[in-house]
Amino acid sequence: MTPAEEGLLALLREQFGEAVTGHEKFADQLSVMVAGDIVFELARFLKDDEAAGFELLSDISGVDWINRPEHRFELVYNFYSVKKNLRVLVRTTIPDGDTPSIRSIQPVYPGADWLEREVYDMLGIDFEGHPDLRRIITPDGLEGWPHRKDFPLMYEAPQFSYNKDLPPEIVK
Amino acid sequence: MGLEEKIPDSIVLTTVDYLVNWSRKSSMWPFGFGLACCAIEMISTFASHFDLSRFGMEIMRPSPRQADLMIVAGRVANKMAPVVKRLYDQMPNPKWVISMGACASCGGIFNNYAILQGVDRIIPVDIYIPGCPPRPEQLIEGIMRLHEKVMKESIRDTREKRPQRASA
Amino acid sequence: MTMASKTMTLNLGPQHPATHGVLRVVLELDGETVISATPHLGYLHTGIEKTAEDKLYYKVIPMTDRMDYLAPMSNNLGYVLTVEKLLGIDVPEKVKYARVLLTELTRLNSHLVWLGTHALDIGAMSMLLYTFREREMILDIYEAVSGQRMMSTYFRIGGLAYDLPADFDKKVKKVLGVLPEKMREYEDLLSNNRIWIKRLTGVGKLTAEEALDLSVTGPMLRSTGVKYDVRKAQAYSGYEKFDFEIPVGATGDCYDRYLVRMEEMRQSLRIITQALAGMPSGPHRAHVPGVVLPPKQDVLTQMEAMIFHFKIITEGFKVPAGSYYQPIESPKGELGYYIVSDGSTKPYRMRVRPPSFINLQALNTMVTGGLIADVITCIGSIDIVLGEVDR
Repeated sequence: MTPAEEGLLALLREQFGEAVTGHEKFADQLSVMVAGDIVFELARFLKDDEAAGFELLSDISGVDWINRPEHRFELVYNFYSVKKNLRVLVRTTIPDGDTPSIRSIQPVYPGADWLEREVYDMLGIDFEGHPDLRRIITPDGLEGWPHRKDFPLMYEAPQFSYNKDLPPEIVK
Repeated sequence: MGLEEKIPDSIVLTTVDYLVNWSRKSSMWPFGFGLACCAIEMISTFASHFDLSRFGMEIMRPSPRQADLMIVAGRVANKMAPVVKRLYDQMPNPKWVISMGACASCGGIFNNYAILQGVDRIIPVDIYIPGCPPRPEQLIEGIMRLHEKVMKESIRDTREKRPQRASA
Repeated sequence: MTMASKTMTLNLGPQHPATHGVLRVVLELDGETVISATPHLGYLHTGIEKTAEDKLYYKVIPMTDRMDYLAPMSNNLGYVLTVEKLLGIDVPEKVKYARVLLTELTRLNSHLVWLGTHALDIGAMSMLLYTFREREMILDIYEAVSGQRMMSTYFRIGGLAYDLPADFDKKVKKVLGVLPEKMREYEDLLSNNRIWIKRLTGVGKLTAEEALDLSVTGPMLRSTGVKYDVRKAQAYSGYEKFDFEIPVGATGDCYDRYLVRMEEMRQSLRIITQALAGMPSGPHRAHVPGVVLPPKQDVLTQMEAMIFHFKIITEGFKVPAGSYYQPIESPKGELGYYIVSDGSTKPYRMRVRPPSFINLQALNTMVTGGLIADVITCIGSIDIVLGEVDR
């Protein structure tokens, strides 16, 4: 790990203590695992603190690990610091339930607006405190959350001469 | 021999069908309905290298009420399907539809919850052009076949009775 | 008696000649001044990320072409680099140089289309015909290299699909010879044109602070003064060996974005010249049995190569479990691929960070207080591609 990354880890551990549950380095990419309830304060710290200075929120991705109900939804926040040229991926997990939810970081990073709307649209995660949480890419009347693993792809079987007069059949 | 020798040069003899069809095909105005990647190849066909102006089609009317030919170029998402149908309904008769590309004809490589598997599920299509995206020469061939199809029409036909095959 | 006035809602519908695709913007107007502009997306949603979870790793490459369809090879590059990082394979030098060369040609391609359509929206209709004529030369190179004019799918995991053709040098030299002079023509037509300057300066201003807050990247961010380019910050595929500069603007309005993109085209030509001059010879694929397809000559003559070829095509290859985020500098901004693998032959999750989608968030900030015509200018200046916005 580079000195800048070690410095960042030490800073986060000092500020948040036990909530930073782990870190991992894979081929020049640093990931920090944190608990879900401190994500908002962590985002504010990363943006406002002089020593951290992460001005750019690159991306928010959601992954559905359907085989682990207690850590079903993994959210990966991708922060980048322009002046220090440092990128860190902050990972957090949300357990399964009727309405999985987490606090929105839109008040800190306005760019998280549409990114969080897309995660809501695709995975059904509710972001508390988001000004306008509604579907952004899928049609408004769609039921279900497309990127969840239990939502079918709706692959239609191709029609050949033997089944061209039957209605198309959805295979998976 | 025949009546042509007795008649001065400034008279043209023809049938009404031929005249109407010839004038319809010679200045068919396309409706600019490019959705995705095929739209870029459609614009390339309108540009100077593969000029579409030689068919009298260089004006791409943005309004459906002033266009005769709808070229559905690109994948039709399920959210866009009602819009396509509404625009088709707004076009005045006579109108023709070319489905350009694999995604508009049959769903293409995207066989999933979000893409309509072929625009012919919502509107009737005259010519299908395969390709992903089809080359501009393929689009020009499709348009020429549509012209041949138009030449075989009769002004008494409703849309359903149009000849189904473009060439014999 | 008091007069109350209401704002008017105008729908810039999904079908519009100037929205570069199927974008719907709902404008709240007070007379001709825009009070708010809300984009409504999703009219081209294709479900690429979900479909990619069902396909083997190499079968996803043609789908990535169709996202940003004006710069298809940079999408391929991002995906291929991410999977190669997950697998931990290195590619030969020739592959790196060829990838850089073709990606810079793709950048030229995308910026030429941007210039043509942006000028068409403003009213300079002949620019479309000029730029599409120049673009035909680049499409000729794509066709020579891979057989397809637009969606070439030329980069594969571990190398290139085929070796570079024999007349590649000649075609690239033709582009390098013709394009600088044509670009001077474009600048003569536009840069000092009073109408162009009046329509573009002061329109769609963004400060550096606002741009970073809204996660804007690419030429839009560079026009506000922030010098962030992934090619320099986190160099990939051999970019550290090339000598080029990053143009940075000052005021963050549409005119600065125009200047930044024109200068980027010149820098791309510089990189292409260096790549062509320094292109090493060598294999066009890495040698990793079980993952990368063996050369066709070997497949036709040797037994192990044929078995590997068969197994890779039918069953695919397993990628070790893990996840990686690889950013690249596409013509629109920072295009990132975040791929999660669970050890099987299909990606568990493929997430694409779409630069056009995120840049489009800035539309409301840019047009508030302006006129309706400025909305069209701003949409053109953000340079969006709806295939990437909706995926």
